[in-house]
Amino acid sequence: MDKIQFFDEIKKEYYRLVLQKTEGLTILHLYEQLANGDFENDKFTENDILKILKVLHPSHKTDQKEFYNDKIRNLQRYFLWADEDRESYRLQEYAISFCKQVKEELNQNFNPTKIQESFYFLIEALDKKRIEGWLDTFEEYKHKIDRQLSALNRQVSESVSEFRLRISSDETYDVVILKDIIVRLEEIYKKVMELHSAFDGAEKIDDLLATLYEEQDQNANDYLPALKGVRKYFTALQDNLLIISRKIERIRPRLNEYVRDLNKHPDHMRFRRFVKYIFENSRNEKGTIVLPDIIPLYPIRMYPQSIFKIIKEDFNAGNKRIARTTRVKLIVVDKESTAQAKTVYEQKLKSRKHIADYCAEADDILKRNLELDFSNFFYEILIRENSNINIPIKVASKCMKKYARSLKHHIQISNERIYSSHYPRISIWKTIISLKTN
Amino acid sequence: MENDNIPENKLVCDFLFQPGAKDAFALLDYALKNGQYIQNHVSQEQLFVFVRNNYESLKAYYREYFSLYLDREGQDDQSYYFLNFRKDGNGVYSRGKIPPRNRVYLDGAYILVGFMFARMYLIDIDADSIFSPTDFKRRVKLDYDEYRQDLMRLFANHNDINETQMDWSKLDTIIDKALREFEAMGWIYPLGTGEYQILPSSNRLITMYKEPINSFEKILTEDIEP
Repeated sequence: MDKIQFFDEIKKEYYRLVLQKTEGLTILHLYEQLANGDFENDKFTENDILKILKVLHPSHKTDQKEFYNDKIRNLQRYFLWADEDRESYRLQEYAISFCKQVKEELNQNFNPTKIQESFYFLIEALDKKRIEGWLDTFEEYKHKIDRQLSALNRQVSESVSEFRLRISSDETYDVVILKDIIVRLEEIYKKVMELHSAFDGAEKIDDLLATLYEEQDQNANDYLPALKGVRKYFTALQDNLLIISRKIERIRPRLNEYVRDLNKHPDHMRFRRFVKYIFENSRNEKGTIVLPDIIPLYPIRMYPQSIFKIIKEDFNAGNKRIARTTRVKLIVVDKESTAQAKTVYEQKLKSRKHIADYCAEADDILKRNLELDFSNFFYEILIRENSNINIPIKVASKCMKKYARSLKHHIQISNERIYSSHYPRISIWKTIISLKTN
Repeated sequence: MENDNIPENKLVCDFLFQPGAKDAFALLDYALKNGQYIQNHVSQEQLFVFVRNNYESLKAYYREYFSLYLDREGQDDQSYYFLNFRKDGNGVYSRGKIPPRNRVYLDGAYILVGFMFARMYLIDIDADSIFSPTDFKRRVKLDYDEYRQDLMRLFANHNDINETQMDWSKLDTIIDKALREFEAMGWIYPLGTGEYQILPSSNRLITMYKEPINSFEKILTEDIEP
């Protein structure tokens, strides 16, 4: 059954598998009666069921019979065996295990936990080193241990929170109350002991399993996966034990505070009692919290915020952007500087053209000779441009960019320095650009 | 509470003519009437100096024209000023000349938060003067077992012993809102790092309820005795 099938089935069968309160309680009652031996041969009649239903859910509807009938029919799918004539009924296995589970879980609330015993038994069995038998025993005990652990968890939670409540509500440091607190502490201490033995037991089993696991590994045994599963279980167990022990830790800060408070100023204590009183006597009325009468209402704001309603004077209220007033600059035409700017600009244009021309020239040479000695080319440009070094530099920059990116070209730069007789103070690395033939 | 009587009539408007009045008085008036507390803090320096220097005169002004009482509590550096009320002849608090529609009351929920705040940070002498909302919320959850049931009942509307994250987040929201109110009132000051500085005026939480604190136990004993 895949996941979708499973949920589809569940949706259909939900109220017959997971009973509503009345029906569930009915089954539990029947189970108890069976356990008591009230029914001969473990069989009961429809009347027996009706009796229980009527007590659990007295119905004054006009179709009273139909109401109960419905319920009994509902139970027949998973919970009741009914013989052909519907003369007698029995509980199905599903019903029995359901009742058993409920009973066992609740039972743990009342019995002291005996985790220690379970672990002890398991360790003993393990010592005998018969794996197959041990694994079976383990399966049995697994459920027991789980139940005991959750019961321990519940007991610890209860004890710890009762203790904390007790200790925080006491301020008199009365001898009687102190004794009571000590009794509670002892209870918790017992639980702690249980916890410790559980930790130890789990650890010991884990160790034994580890050695077993190694031995098995060497024998390439079938039990490996099973042992792995068991170890996983114990890891999870240890996690749960940690959760419980952390709860117990929460006693400590409370206890410390209690002892510290011995020296607290009586005003402090009074304020604390006062706050507690206020909390206990406040009510929640339709979402508002109402404090007890002794607290007077406390106004805070005398004017609600931004009460000053300002009416805008102009009608540009719609425009979010207001045009900024900028100072308008009058353009002053200065012939001289304009002429200057013109020459500069023209020069710039000229240089640009030259640069473009040189680049084209470089490209031509490459196409013709498949190779260009760029270092020499650089100096040539420099000469032609009357020592204006900006031009060849720009040409170099453009060419390098272009040819470095191009897949058809290859640039080779070596550490050899090339000089020109005209410009002894400049040197550049030997740069050869070549055009690939293929 | 100091003497409410005005020694001399001329004091009533004196402050208007003092240096700094034109700068400070408008701001001070709005602040006080917004329920803000003025103390010696860098954010309120100008106002604090002005009200301290003109205390008698201002006090007279608010009393005569608004039937409100400019009170001062605390000592020296820790002192703070605020507008307060007095009980009338019937023992009921009079709100002076504030028109009814201009009165807004601090939510009961926030007062409860204030009490927890006071217990954690004000009555303990060792407490820091800086706190963080996250720390406050965490401690309310973990350290105050005795309030837990009441907190759940009042804020999360249930009586279960188990709580969910959703339950606590309802309380968290209330705490956030309360802290914002306290900030607006000048009881705490945001430091920009998410933390707050606790200002002297927050002590008002305790001084305000001096009477109920002293008398509530008598109410209890009255209840118990037949």
